[in-house]
Amino acid sequence: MNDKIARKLLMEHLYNEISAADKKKLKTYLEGHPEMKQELDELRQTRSLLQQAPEVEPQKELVIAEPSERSFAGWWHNAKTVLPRSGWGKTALATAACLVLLLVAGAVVDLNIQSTKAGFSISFGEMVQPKTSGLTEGQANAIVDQIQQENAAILTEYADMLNQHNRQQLQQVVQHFERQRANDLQLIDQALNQYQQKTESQITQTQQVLGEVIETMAVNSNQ
Amino acid sequence: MSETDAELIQKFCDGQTEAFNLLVERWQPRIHRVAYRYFNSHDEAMEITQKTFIKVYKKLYTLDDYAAFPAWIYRIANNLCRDETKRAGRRHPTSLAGLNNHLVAESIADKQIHQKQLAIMLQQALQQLSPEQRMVVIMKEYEALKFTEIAAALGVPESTVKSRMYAGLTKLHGIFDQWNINKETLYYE
Repeated sequence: MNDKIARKLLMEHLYNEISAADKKKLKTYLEGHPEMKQELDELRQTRSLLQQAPEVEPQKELVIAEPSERSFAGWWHNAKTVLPRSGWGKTALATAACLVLLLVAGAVVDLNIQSTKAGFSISFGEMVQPKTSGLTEGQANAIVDQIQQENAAILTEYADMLNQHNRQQLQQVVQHFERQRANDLQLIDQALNQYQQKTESQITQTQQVLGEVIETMAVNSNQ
Repeated sequence: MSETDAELIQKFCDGQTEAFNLLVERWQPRIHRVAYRYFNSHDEAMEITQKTFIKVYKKLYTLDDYAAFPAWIYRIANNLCRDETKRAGRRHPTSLAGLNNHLVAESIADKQIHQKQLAIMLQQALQQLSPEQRMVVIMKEYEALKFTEIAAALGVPESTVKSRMYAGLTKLHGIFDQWNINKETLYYE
């Protein structure tokens, strides 16, 4: 056992939650560690001080509505428990509620629902046949043609704009690459010139050294 | 024979909302006590208690294991206390220097502490602990919960609870020592 384990056992011991086996182990440990026993005494003292604190009672009761005086929130909370939770269930319930509402409203305002060759109609009170005052077939066709022509013109204009825009973008890209290429060529040219100069300088140095070597050898052979 | 918490919860979930009132009656003093000792303020304790029961009312139907209700409600209260501490930036609300020096001086000089003064000093001492240590000490000392119950309520291992308890008690011992509060200063006629 080490101090860390002993301290956890101290806590269990202090609050009478220690097992008999652990209690025995702790007792043995405390006999060999008086400082730990001292700690236990101090913690006991601290506990007894803490226990001197007076009881705390709420100064006022929480306000809770009686069931008969429950708020709308409370009513809604209960109502929710009987409502369906799935999406389909909610949809079905909403549809049923709409139908009931329609039937009730229909009964009150004398709702008429009719399905004729002219179509489906809903009316309140006595149904009045609508007077037909629409366009002739020829007029309707003319309007449709006009709309189609206008649409075609708009589409063509849009396509032209799009092409022009794409061309401009392409030109910009080409210009960019050309500039890049010119820069690259310039850099390569500079690098080649530097390399050439360096090589020439090295050749000159080598020739000088060789000349000196030959000269030295010639002098040595003459001697 | 009074109904158990589990029976009241079952009734509430079955739509008998008056069962919730009984739960509140039973648990309000405990939650208020914990929050009061945590904040050293009746107003804040009341606020935390109200918030706790509002949350319980809204979420009770999500509790699967009714036997876990005590740990569950203490956890809600603890989380609310923690949130409030963070929100108000009161991790260390009362420094040692902020303590009522006059009270301490007088108490030490007289070597006598009245019960009311002692209550104030104990509360002040509790406020010196970290929020985690404070909650463990409150739950153990004043709510008499077992270490396993505290661990369940706080959602931490039991060994952590014991470590916090040890650290909390040790710190409190140091504070009492510093303030010269001991057995001799307590019991007098």
